[in-house]
Amino acid sequence: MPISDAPDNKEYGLLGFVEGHPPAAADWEEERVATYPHLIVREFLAFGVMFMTLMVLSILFDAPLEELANPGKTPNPAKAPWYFLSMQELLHYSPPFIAGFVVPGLLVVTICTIPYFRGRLLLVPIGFLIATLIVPMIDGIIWGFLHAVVPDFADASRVYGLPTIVLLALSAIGLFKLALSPLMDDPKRGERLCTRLFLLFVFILLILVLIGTFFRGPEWRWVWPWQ
Amino acid sequence: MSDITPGTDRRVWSRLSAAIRGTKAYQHCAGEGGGVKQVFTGGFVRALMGDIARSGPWRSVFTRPFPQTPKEQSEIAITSFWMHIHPASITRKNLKFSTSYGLGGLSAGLFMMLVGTGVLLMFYYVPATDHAYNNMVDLQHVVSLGKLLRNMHRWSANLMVVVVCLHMIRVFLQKAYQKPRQLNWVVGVILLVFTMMLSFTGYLLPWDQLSLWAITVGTNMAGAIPLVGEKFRFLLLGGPTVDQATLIRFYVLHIVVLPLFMFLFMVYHFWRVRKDGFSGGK
Repeated sequence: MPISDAPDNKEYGLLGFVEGHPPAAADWEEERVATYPHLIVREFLAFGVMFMTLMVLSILFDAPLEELANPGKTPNPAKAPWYFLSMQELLHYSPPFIAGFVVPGLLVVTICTIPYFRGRLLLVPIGFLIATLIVPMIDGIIWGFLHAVVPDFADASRVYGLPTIVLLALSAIGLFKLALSPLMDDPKRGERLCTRLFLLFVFILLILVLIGTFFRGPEWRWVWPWQ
Repeated sequence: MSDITPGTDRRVWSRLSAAIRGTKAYQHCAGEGGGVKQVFTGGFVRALMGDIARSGPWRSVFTRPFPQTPKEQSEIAITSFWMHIHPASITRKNLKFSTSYGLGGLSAGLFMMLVGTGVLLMFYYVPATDHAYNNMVDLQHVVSLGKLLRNMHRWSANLMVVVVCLHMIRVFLQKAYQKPRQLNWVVGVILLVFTMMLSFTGYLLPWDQLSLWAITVGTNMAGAIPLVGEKFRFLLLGGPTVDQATLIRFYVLHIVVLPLFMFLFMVYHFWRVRKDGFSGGK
């Protein structure tokens, strides 16, 4: 039937409902149920539970409000919002150019590239995420060493973040070699390794946030939460 | 007017009373036995609901009867504006909570909560350095339920950052970013960045010590971008330090610019979920 002859002159419509499998669908062998009401009811319930949880949270805990902003009185330490504290923690080890620009930039770009690496090559972006977090800390140690031996070169390289950039480039090459090595020959094992490395990355980020939130006091020195 | 002839009002009244006498609810009251007793015993509410459901205004909003058969239920999903982001049917497996833990939907729900509470807060908040903090104190102590409103906005915002991150981890662990969903993963990363930017710009608005110095620390990092860093920081702050110009910039970013882009990217994210196929949790 030509579309223009369809009832009501509509360009599309549902002509009937046939029990069975839709053609060419990926999960055709599975049992299907109508979205309405099955999914809709669950969505409303989930929203209700979320709303009630927030309500209880908001009754029990008050949002922080300190004294009026005073540009003349710098708190020690001045902390960024908690989700940026991992970067502020890295600021403790490496110059702002690295911790404030290179690391967050590389993290976002690398996470974006994850779906474009498949099979054994998935190791490259995921390994690189971990390297991006750890290398600035190694840089801090290297810089301390260089500073003691060749102060002039050390200070200049810190400004340009040289050790970090060199180490990151080396780790990228190393990860490519590793991805092509026999270590990743077994797809199952490679997959498992990537999953674990990604969880390790999340874990390191979480630890950095927790350290920044609870274990850093004046001058960004280590303090215990009960001190 | 030609249709106002003598006796019009009488005809209108007779038609109205005929309509009332025609309703099931009236017949229920006037039926055998009649009287007040009938109103409170079975069936009156149902009769009244039936009358409402048959009335013109109701049917102009809800064009179809309550869906009973699979065909009617599917038609709801296909034809209703509010439902059209859903597929008509869904597999039993995807219906299970453990397939996605509802984290994506929860993120969207939290965004709606934040828009709702945020709009209510806007009725009280003035983005001026000599007002903002007092508005916060008023919200805590003077405005009815003001404290609850602010708390809900704050905790929703924090929770949203957490839930969006968890959603991303879940998508990674289920490998749901793989072909053909690569682009939607990237859109998701953009949404995560927007979530953090929204939270960060909102952080300044209470104009207390916490806000001022958190934004000072955060924007100092932006100053570390090579070549353009200082200029970018100046653009963001509207001056060399966090001041009135910063407050109004962050306010406009927080309530208009970022939510608008966030919404557009969310719409695209959901549309892609449908187009790429909804069969997560392989």
